[in-house]
Amino acid sequence: MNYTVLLLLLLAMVLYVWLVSRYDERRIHRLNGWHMAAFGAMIAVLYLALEPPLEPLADGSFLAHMAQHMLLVYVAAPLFLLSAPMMLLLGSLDLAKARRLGRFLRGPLWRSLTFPVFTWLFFMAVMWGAHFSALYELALTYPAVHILEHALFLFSAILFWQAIIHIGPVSWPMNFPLRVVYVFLAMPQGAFLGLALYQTRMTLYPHYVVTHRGSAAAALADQHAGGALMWIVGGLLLFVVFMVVVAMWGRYERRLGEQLDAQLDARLGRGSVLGMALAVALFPLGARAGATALDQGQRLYQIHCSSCHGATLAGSASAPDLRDVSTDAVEFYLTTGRMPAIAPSEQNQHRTPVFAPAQIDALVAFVMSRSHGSTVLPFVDNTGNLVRGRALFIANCSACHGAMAQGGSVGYGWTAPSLDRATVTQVAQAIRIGPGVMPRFDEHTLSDRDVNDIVRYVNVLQTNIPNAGGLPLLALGATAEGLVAWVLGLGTLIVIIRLIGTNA
Amino acid sequence: MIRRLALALDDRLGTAHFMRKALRKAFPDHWSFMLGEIALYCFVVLLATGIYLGFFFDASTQPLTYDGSYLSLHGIQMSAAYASVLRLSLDTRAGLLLRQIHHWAALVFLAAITVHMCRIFFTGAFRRPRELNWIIGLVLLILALGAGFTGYSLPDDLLSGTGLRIAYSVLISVPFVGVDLAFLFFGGDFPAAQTIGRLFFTHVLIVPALIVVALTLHLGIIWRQKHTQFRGPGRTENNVIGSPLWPNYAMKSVGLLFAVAAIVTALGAFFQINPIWLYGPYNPSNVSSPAQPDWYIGWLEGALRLGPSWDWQIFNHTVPAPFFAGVMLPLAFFFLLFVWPFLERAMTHDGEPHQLLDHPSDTPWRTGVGAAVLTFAIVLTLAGSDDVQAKIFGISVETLASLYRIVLLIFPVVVGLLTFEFARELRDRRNALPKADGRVVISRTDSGGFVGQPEENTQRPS
Amino acid sequence: MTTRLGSTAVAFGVSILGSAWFAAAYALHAGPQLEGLGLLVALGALGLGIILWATFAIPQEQVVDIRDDYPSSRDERSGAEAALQHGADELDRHGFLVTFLMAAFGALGVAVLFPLRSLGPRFGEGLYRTKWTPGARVVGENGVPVSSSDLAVGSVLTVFPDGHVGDASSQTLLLRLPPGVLQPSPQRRDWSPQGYVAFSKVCTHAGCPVGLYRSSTYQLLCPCHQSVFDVAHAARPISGPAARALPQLPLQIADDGYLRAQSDYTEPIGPGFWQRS
Repeated sequence: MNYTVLLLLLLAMVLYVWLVSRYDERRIHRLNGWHMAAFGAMIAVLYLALEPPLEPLADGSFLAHMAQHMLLVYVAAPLFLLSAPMMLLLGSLDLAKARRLGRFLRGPLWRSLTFPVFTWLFFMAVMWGAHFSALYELALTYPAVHILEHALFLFSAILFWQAIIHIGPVSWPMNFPLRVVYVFLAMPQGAFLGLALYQTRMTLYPHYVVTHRGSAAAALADQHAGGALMWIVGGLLLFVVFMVVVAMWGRYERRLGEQLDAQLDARLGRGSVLGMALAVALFPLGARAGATALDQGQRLYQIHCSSCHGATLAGSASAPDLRDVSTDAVEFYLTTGRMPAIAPSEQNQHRTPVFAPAQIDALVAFVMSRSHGSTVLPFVDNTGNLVRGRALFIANCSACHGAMAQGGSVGYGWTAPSLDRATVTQVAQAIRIGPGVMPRFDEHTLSDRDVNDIVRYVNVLQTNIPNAGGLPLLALGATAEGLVAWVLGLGTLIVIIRLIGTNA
Repeated sequence: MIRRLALALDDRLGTAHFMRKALRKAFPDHWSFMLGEIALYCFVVLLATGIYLGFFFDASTQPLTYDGSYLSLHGIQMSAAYASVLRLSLDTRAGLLLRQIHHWAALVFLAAITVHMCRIFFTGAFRRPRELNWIIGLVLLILALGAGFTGYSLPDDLLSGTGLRIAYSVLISVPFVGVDLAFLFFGGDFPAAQTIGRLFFTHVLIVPALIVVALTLHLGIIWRQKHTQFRGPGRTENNVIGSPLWPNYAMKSVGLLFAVAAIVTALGAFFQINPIWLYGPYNPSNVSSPAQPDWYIGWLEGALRLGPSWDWQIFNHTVPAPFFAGVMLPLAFFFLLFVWPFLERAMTHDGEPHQLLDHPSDTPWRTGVGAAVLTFAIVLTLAGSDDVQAKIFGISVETLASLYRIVLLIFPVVVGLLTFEFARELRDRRNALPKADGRVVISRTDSGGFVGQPEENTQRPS
Repeated sequence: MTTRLGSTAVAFGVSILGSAWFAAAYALHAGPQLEGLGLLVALGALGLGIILWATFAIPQEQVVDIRDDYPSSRDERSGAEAALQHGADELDRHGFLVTFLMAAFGALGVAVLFPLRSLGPRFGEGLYRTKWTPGARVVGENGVPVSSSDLAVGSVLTVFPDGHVGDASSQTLLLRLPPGVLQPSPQRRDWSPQGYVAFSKVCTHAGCPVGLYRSSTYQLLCPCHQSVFDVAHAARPISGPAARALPQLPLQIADDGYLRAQSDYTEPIGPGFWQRS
């Protein structure tokens, strides 16, 4: 039981009651039961979010923490605004203080803070920034930062929602079409963030690996669950809001029509609402039970590969001959999802494999039954020498893949991909087979020990890259640094001198 | 207490007369006049952080074996310079913070100088009697560029070493004396052992001393000549209206100093810059891609990338391609900048002193030329990172380079012409409005409309 | 007014907290982000407080200065001219001495430039020669000699002459191409045995190591300015700002199966310079 939060909530309720009691009855804008109910609901939601049972769960589970955040951002913040706080303050404070508050609300600081473009971007920036930066992990480690983080979430959410919840004095009143666009644009953003978390291949927050008793897989599943929660439930919540705004727009338009003239076209009524379906399509490619791997592989090959690689694996204008290919090559291309190719003329990027592991094994078995290539995969484990691996990586790989394995252009539309998605086996396979335009390095050029060392270093870059200096800016080097210096550095300073200086 | 200090100073130096005038000196406080101050305060931050960093840097290329905390480089041979920067970044408290603040401050320093220079240009503040200050400002820009380049080359890491190699190649491309100059300055064939030490000395003593001298002249001339101001009520060519230096302007300025320091501290704390431990020590046969210099050298990088592959053979001698893009282009560019005040004076036949600033639309042709030159520089800078763009957007870098070559030739002209037209339109529109400083008499026309005319002999309200 | 001053006081208080935070973060080895946060708050709040004070609490006033500092009055000017002329006449009277003085200054100026020569060695053979000698064994970056079975077709390796691993001008790219792809000129017919071909790794444009190899199209790409070299045709540039092909190292396979160089490069490696013919 978090007594501090309980105390703060009680204080808030007392303050609210006191302010309501002082509310000037003569004002045109009346406080009604709905406003008070909204405030009460907000207190209840805050209690739910910040007290047991959710609070202790949130320490250990990313999913619970995500639920907490969503309660704060999607439920508590709008409820707060629906309780008409500004109206309450302006009506309850004495005249001098109310006037000062009014001046502040008309002042440049509040107007800048509540500018809808800024609030939308700020909200998104806080959401994305909190999850994909060191802030999340810091918040889990230092309670003070955690409080700051929750405050930041609440603050950005309140700013975000106040752009469309027009109760009390509004700095930037938006008409309904704009409000619909505002919410509509927020939906894919939230969905993308949730999806991004759902699609992660590695745990982002070491804290949760610890709370899952060291199991990275469990932490990853937890992370995926949190991402799915944000994606689906967050999307649903925003969708509900979207529907509400659209409905309000419809009601407004209808009332306008009724006011003006009965002859106005009834089409201006409720507005058109297109259903948005958030569906995930899964394409299971199953094999008939009882078929052997070879038969299954042959069937799969005929369906998915023969159109380019030929029925006899002889290749064609758009695909190479497979009759001397090695096991590693087949495995590499299938496990990285590069094959089946989307478009033969474009570079095949690493994507989620189309086939399940059993199907990949079947395909490998089939292709190798027709190929006289060999298996040259070195055994890779976590025992490589980090120092040798780094030196070998810089000597042979960084020219194309970059010193931080972030990938780079190699001309003519080809890119050396970022190595963040590749498993250590796939890295070793790629070194040996040289996919695409990459040169290949056989065991005489880079010994098995060399390859083991290189994959050890690549693994460190993937999982524990030492970004001691802060946000790595996408490892884009001086280009990103220059952009940040201009936009965040000089840009902020120009905003400051515009505030300090005059404009005459 | 201040009073006692002032009296003590006056007893010894006779400062009262100066202080009486100086403390009430008028400083126009339009926000765009503070851009130069941003640059100045970036320099202050650079000096402060730089002095601290200088205590830790070892400017020697003596090879040693690393035994610090970064495991991936354990036991590797590297230069003492690189090792000292590694130690400062990863094994010294506040070392990485101050080093990053220093580097970010350098980037913002040059950005502020650039915007300040644009402000001076587009408002015509370089006109008589301020041509000398324009030239000193350009000298400061060149010194700042030199400070930045020498500074980020000091850690002797893979990325900056590649950049040094390019600088060396550009220097040897100079006809007649190129190779001799390169051997003299770098200390021999690349990579020479003395280079880092010389860069350190240049970066830490020669360039900052010259900057301080030039800055003192720059600010002294402004003090003496008094700042320019925009046109406005009560402002003439013979006066200057603004906030008094003490306490108003001085306090705002000190506040700005801390704001600048805070912003570059924010950048240095949260945004990683130049992570040299990931690049590794410089090895002439290694390279990392993408390879870009800091943004303010980006225009030269873009010029080298877009430059045509001319290797001229003249009677058994070669003038190679980097000479045109890496030497002739920047020389021509800076030459144009240096002579501009005199060029403009010759073209406009206007040798009068100007204390009031132009609005950019007042002189459309100058604004158009400035916009064209600025576009040229921006396109070059963007071209300097065309491989990064090619990677992000998945397009061919060769195609992108060809595209940039075309854009480089066409865009500045187009932008210049459009800006010229736009500015002229603005100016004409502004001039067409009747200026009614006094009262306006409104009368009805025969066709029923209204027309306003300024009352001729209206006494201006004082 | 009081609220403004109140906010200034709060700002200064926050700044003090920030300084304390920075000191604490430093003492606790908290890392650059937390140290920086403290410093940022300390500086930012201080600046904000001062600006709030200057903008809101101090009476805003404008003062007017009159520009009468320059140009100086006619009397001052003629006085200055007279003072200058006083000395100038003396100089004019002995024009020959002035010329001699100028000559002395000039001579001194030229003379003090001479010690600059000590800054670096005489430009000598360094730009024309590398450490490759006839018969030098080809070794990898680890110093191990490269034999004729060491490189697969489509592979690439950075090599050096034996005993000079890491030498900047001798760095060489060893590539192996499938039979029939190479199109050597008549005088280079025996430079590339068994598909092995070696080119200088130093780009002929601005000297960066040409590290990117597109093995399926036999092209080398330099990462600095994107020059592309066609390996199958003697590494001549087909795109980008480079104008000259990468110099080729003549290779031979010795009886013991190890690769050796036939001789040094037949032209200066790397970027062009004036004296290069």
